[in-house]
Amino acid sequence: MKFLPLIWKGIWRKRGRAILILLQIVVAFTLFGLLQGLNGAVKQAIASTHADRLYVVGRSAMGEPLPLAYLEQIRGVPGVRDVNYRLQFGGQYQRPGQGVVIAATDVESFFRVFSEVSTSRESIDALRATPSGAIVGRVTAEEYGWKVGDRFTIQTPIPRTDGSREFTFDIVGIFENTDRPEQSIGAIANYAYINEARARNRNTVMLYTALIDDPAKSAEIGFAIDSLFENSTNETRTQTESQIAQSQIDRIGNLDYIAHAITGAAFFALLFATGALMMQSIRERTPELAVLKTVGFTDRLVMTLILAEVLLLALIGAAIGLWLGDFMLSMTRQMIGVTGMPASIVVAGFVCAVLLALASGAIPAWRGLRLQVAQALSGR
Amino acid sequence: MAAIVSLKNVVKRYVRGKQRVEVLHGVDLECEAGEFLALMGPSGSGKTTLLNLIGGLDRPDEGEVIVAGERIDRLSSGQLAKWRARHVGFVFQFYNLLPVLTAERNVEVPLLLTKLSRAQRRKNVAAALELVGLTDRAKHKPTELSGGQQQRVAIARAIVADPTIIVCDEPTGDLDRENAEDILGLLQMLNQRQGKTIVMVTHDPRAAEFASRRLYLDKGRLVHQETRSAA
Ligand SMILES: Nc1ncnc2c1ncn2[C@@H]1O[C@H](COP(=O)(O)OP(=O)(O)O)[C@@H](O)[C@H]1O
Ligand SMILES: [Mg+2]
Repeated sequence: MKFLPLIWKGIWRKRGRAILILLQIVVAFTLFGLLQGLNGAVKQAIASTHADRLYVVGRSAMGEPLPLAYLEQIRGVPGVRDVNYRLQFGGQYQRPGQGVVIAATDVESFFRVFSEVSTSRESIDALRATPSGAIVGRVTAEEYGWKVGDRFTIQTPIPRTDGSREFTFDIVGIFENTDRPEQSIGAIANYAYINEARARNRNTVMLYTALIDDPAKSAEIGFAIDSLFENSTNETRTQTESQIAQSQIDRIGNLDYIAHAITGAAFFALLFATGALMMQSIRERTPELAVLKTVGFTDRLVMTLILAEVLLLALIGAAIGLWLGDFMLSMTRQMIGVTGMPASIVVAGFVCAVLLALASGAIPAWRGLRLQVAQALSGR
Repeated sequence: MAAIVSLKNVVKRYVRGKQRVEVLHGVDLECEAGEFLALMGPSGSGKTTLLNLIGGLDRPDEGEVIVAGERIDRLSSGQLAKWRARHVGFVFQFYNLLPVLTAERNVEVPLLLTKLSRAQRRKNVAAALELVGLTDRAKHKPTELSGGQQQRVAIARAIVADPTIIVCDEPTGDLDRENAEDILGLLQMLNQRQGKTIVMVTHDPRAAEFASRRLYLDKGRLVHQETRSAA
């Protein structure tokens, strides 16, 4: 520890160069934190999906109406424990930009199937007793200042028999998404209330969600469901939640590959850039290192001091870079719903920093180790 | 008095290109505790080479080098480093201070290798700076000091760990007359009042006058020696 001032002064011997090295390291680790953090968070999101839920939608297009009559047939498939149906649409509250997503559904089965959506028993009973009722997400309620007992009207894309597109709801409760509290948004309403009022597509739903006994059998059960409706006018496609998440991610490209390729390239470049600058720094300081040896610093101590210098720079740079990466990740959080940089990425980042320091400091440190005092002093 | 430095039949060769050049041809030398020895001779005669052997910065190809009671020609490079830390203080022509450190931190460097506490180190540094008369410049960086002052800092660094012997290579080679005499007076004072053993290389006869004994090196051989006349 008493050598720390010596190491610190060594780093800042040329301020411009030290800042340049630090900047390179910071940029590389920001990139690392951002990409790996994103990748890790997305993987985490996929892993935390509910494997015991199957989603049944129209085969030709997501959102294509499916007959309500499928309900009993799906319920009859072996391995299916429970089924919920749902019509989902966005409405506009008062002015553009104030969206509310409505899930018009069978209330009882909804709260059974989506166990992470939690509300009180009284609210569920009140919703069943109130045709125009709605249980509103906590975040949405806070956003618009809604309370239980309030009434709100939204413009929807669903035409009513009277020609208007307005629906009015009475708030009977608030729900919370316990998996992802920030996703406590929108409102849950009675399917019948919408279905009876609408002009078109009566007795159809947008998707079914089946709760199954054994996630290991999801492929089998999915196949059984889809087989039921093969060659009908409304064929279905059944997928697990994680399949849906994965296919959405696949659309952005192979995130895993991109993350590794870019950070790998950045670290590779960093290795040489930092190594070269350290080399230059050591060459410049040859007389000073010779003085240290003259005074009695052993070869190994001089080598250790050089490595400590690179290590300190790398760790400081990595800390700043990872912090910046986490900060940027938190800004994209609302956009893509990632939950922040996983701790494993932070640990991996610091491990990379240490390896990087050892690799780029190896040659300078070796030079320091081998430096011959007498020759260095005479400028040979 | 006991010999602090004793060289017997020391030969040193350098490899230059494909040739091996012998620079010292069997040098015998003794220096006793409390002496102030001046090594003189023309440029290229091997003075620095000889001094580096005495200071344990290099090893001979043949012969014995015994300094402070140790056969240092037999030590490994790691052992030699530790030996230097304990027994030798160095002063060079170009001061060789660490430019990023203040005067007091430069003086402290050798003490980082000891077990002394921080407070004890600070105390010894202050004492050394006082001895060379630079207490008021303790916080200055080398670039903020004159050549003479920098050499005083270097001398403080050389004595701070209380070495057995101080070796100086052309310590006044880069200084004007006045500053040179200051530095030489300081070395003489350290020798006479503090009893420090000093071996100094110089090619300047006036600098050598400050020593208690002078040895002449020519083409790698000691030619004759002359003891200081009563001054
Ligand atoms: N590391 C070295 N490699 C090769 N030759 C050297 C080396 N050091 C010194 N010499 C040569 O040895 C001779 C003596 O050098 P040196 O001891 O520096 O002399 P002085 O200090 O008396 O001027 C010179 O010819 C010099 O060129
Ligand atoms: Mg010389």
